Amino acid sequence: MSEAIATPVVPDEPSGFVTDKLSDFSDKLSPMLVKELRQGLRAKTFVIVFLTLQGLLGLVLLASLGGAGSPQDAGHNISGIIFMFFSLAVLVIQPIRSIGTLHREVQGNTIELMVLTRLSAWKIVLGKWIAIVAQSALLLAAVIPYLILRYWFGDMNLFGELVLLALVFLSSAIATAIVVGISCLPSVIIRGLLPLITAAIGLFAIPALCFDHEFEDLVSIASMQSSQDFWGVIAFVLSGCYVGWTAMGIGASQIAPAAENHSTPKRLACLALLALILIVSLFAKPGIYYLLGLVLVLGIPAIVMALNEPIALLPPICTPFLKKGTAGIIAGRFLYPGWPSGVLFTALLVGLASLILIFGGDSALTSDDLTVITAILGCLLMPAALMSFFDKKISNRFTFYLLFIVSQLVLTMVLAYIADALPEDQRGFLWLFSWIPMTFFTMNEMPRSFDPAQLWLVSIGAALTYGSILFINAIIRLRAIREVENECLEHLKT
Amino acid sequence: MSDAAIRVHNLYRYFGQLKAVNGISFEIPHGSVCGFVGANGAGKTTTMRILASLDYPTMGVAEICGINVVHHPEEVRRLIGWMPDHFGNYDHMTVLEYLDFYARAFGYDGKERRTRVQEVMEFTDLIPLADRFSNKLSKGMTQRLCLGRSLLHDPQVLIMDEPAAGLDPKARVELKHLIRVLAQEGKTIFISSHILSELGEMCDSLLFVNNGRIVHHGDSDSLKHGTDAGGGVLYDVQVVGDPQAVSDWCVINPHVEFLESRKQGGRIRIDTTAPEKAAETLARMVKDGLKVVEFHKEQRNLEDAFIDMLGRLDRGESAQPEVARPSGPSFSPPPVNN
Repeated sequence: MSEAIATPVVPDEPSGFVTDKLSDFSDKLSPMLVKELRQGLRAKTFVIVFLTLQGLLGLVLLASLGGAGSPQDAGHNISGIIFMFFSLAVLVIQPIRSIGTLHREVQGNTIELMVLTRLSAWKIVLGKWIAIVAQSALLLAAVIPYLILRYWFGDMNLFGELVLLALVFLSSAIATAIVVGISCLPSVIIRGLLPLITAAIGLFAIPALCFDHEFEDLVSIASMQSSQDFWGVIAFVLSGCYVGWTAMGIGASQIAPAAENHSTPKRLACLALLALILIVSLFAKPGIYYLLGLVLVLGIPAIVMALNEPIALLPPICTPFLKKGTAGIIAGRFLYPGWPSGVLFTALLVGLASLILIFGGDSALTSDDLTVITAILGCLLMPAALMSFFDKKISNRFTFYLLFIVSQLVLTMVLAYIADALPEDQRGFLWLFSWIPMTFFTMNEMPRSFDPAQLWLVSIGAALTYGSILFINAIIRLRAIREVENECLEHLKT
Repeated sequence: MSDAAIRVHNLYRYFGQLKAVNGISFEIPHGSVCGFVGANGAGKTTTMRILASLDYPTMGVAEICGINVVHHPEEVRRLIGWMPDHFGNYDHMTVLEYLDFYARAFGYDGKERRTRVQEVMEFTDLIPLADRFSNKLSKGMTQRLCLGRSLLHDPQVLIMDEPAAGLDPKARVELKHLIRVLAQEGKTIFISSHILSELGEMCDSLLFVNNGRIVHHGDSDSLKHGTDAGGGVLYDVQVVGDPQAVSDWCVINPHVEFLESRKQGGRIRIDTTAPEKAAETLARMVKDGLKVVEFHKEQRNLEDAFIDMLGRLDRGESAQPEVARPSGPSFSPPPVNN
């Protein structure tokens, strides 16, 4: 065993042993990406998927050539086959490979070893995501030659199919981001079962889509010949990026040390985007439903995350706020990590969203729409309000929150099934379940059984009740923040 | 910057009703090796995790090289090497790639990274294992790999939680050797272990913790030589003739207490550590006609000393910690936490 370990300042290159073996990846790449690629490319799953995709595409391509009546028919078949296999590989198998990826690191104590380096939690999550997406990109590259071959059969909407291929790839990246983001949650139902169920649905839906006339519709939308299609594709891309970013943010905040602040940037980004939408919409007056869609896509993930952050406020997080004086202290009440400040942030976000929907759109929302909006808000607030009573006993708020949401969904589906089977005048029993905000969706679908105006008022009442419960509990918890702030102020003085 | 490499003052960590760390204070000077001893659940790992910035205290101050671990965790992480009691390895990753990954993660690039990896592999004797998958290593090899990882960024302070647990004797000797070399290089090492005899050999001082409190802080000799909590020294005395004579003699002599009978003599306690007093006691015994054939300081192993200490605590006797009282105003109120 050799003696003495010197400090790292050694100018001479070491002997070839290490140099030869460690030059396979550039220094410019993220360490996490290098690690994941080294592991991922050696994993059998990727190799099997890659070879199977190539083999199947080649085989089916030859079979299609022989079996088709005309070159155009063969071309359409080949398009369907390429999209089916590629979509199954990148939308089903690749995201599944990410299941539990962060949980395994947490279980193995390797997350802690990583956060002690210069890797931030965000870089760790991003590295894991990029590695899977990079492998999906290899699959994409492997499919391109077949698409070029298909071009020679004629009757191909080249631009539309290429854009659709890119959108499938983007969808894969988003799905992977969601699976990676929730992969650190302790509940195996959330991190494992939900993605598997979604994948199983995809397994049946994708082949049906690829050989149906809906495939032609998708290609037509992707070719963006109308402005509606164009904006639809743009909205999909932007909202997909936001959802993916948010999902990975969940993962980063779950594995991050308590001293890392992952909440403030996310909350600020959401508020800034909403403020921008408000300003633009005041002048442009876009369609109210476009605005509603944007507000929901931006607001729902932000509210879900804000209401589910654990309270662990440490001096490194407070200090930047306190350095800005009273304004910083007030901003902290809305932007500090933790669900109590998340409640105030939610109130601010709902206020901003209301302004957008009242003053920004080209028309007013109907009472049905308002019922749906308040029901969505109630659905988001209810689990958090119930958890606020026993939050000290909950080890992972986010998991419980999602389980509450899933339970709400299942219960509402059962109630909807029962109500559907009953005559219209006997559906009033649903009022008994109006404390579950999701039932308002069901009731809203039955206008002959429930008065829309009454429904709206009750849904507002439910959302306000849960909001008030949360607000009171949040104010009580926020008092304790002052103690940490005082300590920081003392530290700043010294 | 403080003189101490590690300074802990009035540190508390509560998990609900459980007081994992209950007001401990100690200092470890630069370049020393300090053993951290305690039963399972005594608060060792929690304290070490706080020092490694992986957990945070409910109250109190923890500093590494004068830097507060709560206020400046990023800076502290550059100063410490952390070796946890258990950790997972990666599939499909060789030893060399494992160290390369962490070297990249610590911010090394190019030639410096390769040089650093090579040095650490040489130091921990991992060169022959370079191409082995890291999850296929034995426990001893894994510990060497973990030590290598924690040394990559050349930390000033090494915090090692049960590094010898589960190792075979050969691997333990190797690990001990590595720790000695690191100590000679001036690194401060804070190490917890259940194998007290080995800690005694390699540590400059030992910290005994029980129920979240420090119950003793001193060098291993003070325990081995039978120095008790009251500052007395324990001796074994053997005589020719009636062994009862020793206890009878103790009754009539001040400053000497008879503790228990043993074959041909007994165990006595002299209430001072001064060697002159021991010599004087022996001279008086001989003068009073006792045929003393053996008179020596009690040599206990550390396990016995630790068990004795826990026994005294269970009986409600004091085991005052010899803790260097740090000065300084810092006092952290509890972080808000759910």
